[in-house]
Amino acid sequence: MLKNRFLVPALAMLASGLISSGANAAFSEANRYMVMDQVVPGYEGFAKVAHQLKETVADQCGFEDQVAREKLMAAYQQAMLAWQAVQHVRFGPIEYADRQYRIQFWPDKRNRTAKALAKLKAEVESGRSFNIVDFAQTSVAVQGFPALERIFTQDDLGPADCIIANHIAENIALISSRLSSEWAVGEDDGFADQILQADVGTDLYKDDKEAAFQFFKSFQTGLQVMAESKLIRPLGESAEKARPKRAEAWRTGQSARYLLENATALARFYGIQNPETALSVDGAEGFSAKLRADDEGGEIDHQVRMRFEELIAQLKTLDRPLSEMVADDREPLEIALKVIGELRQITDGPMAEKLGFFIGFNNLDGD
Amino acid sequence: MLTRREMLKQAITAACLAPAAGYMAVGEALAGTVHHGFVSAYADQEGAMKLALIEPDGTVARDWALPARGHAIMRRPKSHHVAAFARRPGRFLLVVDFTTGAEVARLSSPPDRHFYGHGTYSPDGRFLYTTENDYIDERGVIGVWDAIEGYRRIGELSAHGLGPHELLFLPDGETLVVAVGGILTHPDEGRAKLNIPEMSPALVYMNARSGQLVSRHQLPQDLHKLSLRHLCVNAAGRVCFGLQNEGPKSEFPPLVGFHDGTGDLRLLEAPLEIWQGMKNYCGSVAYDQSGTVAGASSPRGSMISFWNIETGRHLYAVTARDGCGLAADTQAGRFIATCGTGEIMRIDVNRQMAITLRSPGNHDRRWDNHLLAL
Repeated sequence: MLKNRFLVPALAMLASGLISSGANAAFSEANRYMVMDQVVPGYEGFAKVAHQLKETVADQCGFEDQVAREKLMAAYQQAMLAWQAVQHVRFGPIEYADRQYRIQFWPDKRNRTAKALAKLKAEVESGRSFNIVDFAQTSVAVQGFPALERIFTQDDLGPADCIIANHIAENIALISSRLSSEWAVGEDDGFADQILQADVGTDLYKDDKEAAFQFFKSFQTGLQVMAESKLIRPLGESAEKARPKRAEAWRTGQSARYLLENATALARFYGIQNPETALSVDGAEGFSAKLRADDEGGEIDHQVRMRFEELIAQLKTLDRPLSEMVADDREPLEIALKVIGELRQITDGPMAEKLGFFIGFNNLDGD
Repeated sequence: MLTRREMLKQAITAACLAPAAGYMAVGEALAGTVHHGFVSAYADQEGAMKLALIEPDGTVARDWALPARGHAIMRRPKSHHVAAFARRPGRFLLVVDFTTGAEVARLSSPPDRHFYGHGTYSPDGRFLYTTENDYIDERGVIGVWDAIEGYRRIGELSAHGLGPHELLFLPDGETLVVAVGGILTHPDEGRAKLNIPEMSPALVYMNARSGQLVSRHQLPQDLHKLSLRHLCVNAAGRVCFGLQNEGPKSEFPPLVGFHDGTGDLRLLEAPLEIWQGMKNYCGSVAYDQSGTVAGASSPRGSMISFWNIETGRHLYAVTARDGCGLAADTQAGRFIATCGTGEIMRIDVNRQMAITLRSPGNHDRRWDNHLLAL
């Protein structure tokens, strides 16, 4: 389901001579790993727990007992964790129809979620009903996890809250199942095949290196989001200037747990089979395997593995909500931030160069 | 008590009544000196940020240290001064004399404001207008500086939208045209974009004196993720604009368009492989000397493409690795382009050829996004 108003067959570009041909098999294996072992199962897993969340909300919301609350919260956390594991995939079907933002509108600088949620609740209470299509047309800020978190952390859940919670859970389930089916291998126009067949040129990628570059950029962005949005923003300049409510999902206190999930997912995405013991190299795939083809690349891979092992160990020590730590126990967070910074330096510098990814001086967005 | 805007109006009115006296008073009677060089910001081998005066043959005649990464440069009319603006979200503004090398002014954006990287002078050379982010109130503003009074900040105008980027004067000398990118950012968030689902870019015309909105033009809703960023204006007042796509990267919408002040924004046509080759990103646009050929660079796609702006016909595309800076050369149909690889090239659109003036690869000067023809 490649909805593409402006798509050009790669053949036309080849004929025009504007792009070089040169089928390059060098990234085929890395691409196959990232598609088949990471993105496709990642979205499948997300779709599965999002479906469970939808069923749980339908079954449990409205019962004012502790057991129902716990079941709701557990289903929410399962789905949120599965989302954290694919959050770094920033290209492909996730880009259609603002899906990224509809799943998780965050950071929410202008407090859009609160405002849109209040408006929606008033509409529901006045008797307006929504079907799934109507709901998808409402503000992006109420369609995903942050709005659901607000509802589930309220003291009392009224009928309108549960109607909205059901809509949100249904919406997340629908989007996640579409992400999964649109990536599917072997389907007509499946996004996976755009990448798996990139070595002979596809509609989107002139060769497999160009497809691999998309994955590389997702890896870079994943590290960037961890550092800049999830740590630097809530940390602020000092303990006095810390901003606890800027922590991701601070109401449920799992921000640090999500960072651990992000780090583990990024390490696997990069090609480390067992991120907790990254240095033991008992499995190398993807970019890791590609780097290890020679000594110089092997040293870069070693440096990356060292940082991932350190980062994951460090994130595992965080046993209190990040929103509290930013004010009174900053050092463990600052250490994690430093390690992510080192990973970013290696990625943007030696790794990009070794893999042959050219990052221009002038191609940053917004200039 | 006068409001800031009223003070600004008075100051500008006074200036318009006696512009010549203003110049004589500071001894700047330099009208119309011809110089065929170029100016661009760059990063040197050690990563230091600088500004260079480039001779027509591609050699560097002079350079200046910049406090941080620069972006665009603008020449002050009727003078030898050029202003260099900090790249988003930077705060410096440096003005130098390109003939003597002297520093004329070194300023910072006011508290709670940062620059977006572009600025332009009033045609009489008195006022400098800079695009800025008021990140506390989350609105785009145009800062106004008095060049005669040591670049004193005399006020600011609304940019009539979020994320104003490049701005220029129309030939009437009174109307500013502003590329309003529509993207919300905050310096605390680095370069992250905070409002993509609801971004609302526009081409804005406003009165430079009063700040009043003349008109605001937007692309159709299904193209609302095409951010307006770069501009050039020819003598007839036709505005050519360059876009960057924040929508799905698997779609390839047109990235260059034009407008004559009224009616809908028009997008240029080109073979689809041109849009695909530009990789959803246009880094700068420029007219040639005649104002009939418009060029648009894409550093991400390493391609520069040219159109006849009167007929709308696509003329030529040339490969320029990390090529972004683009400015008119002295003859019609010719351009000079600068690249992040260090390359400087002369492009002749009529003869469909490009020659290298300075070769890439040594990385001693990685040219930044914009090139100014003096």
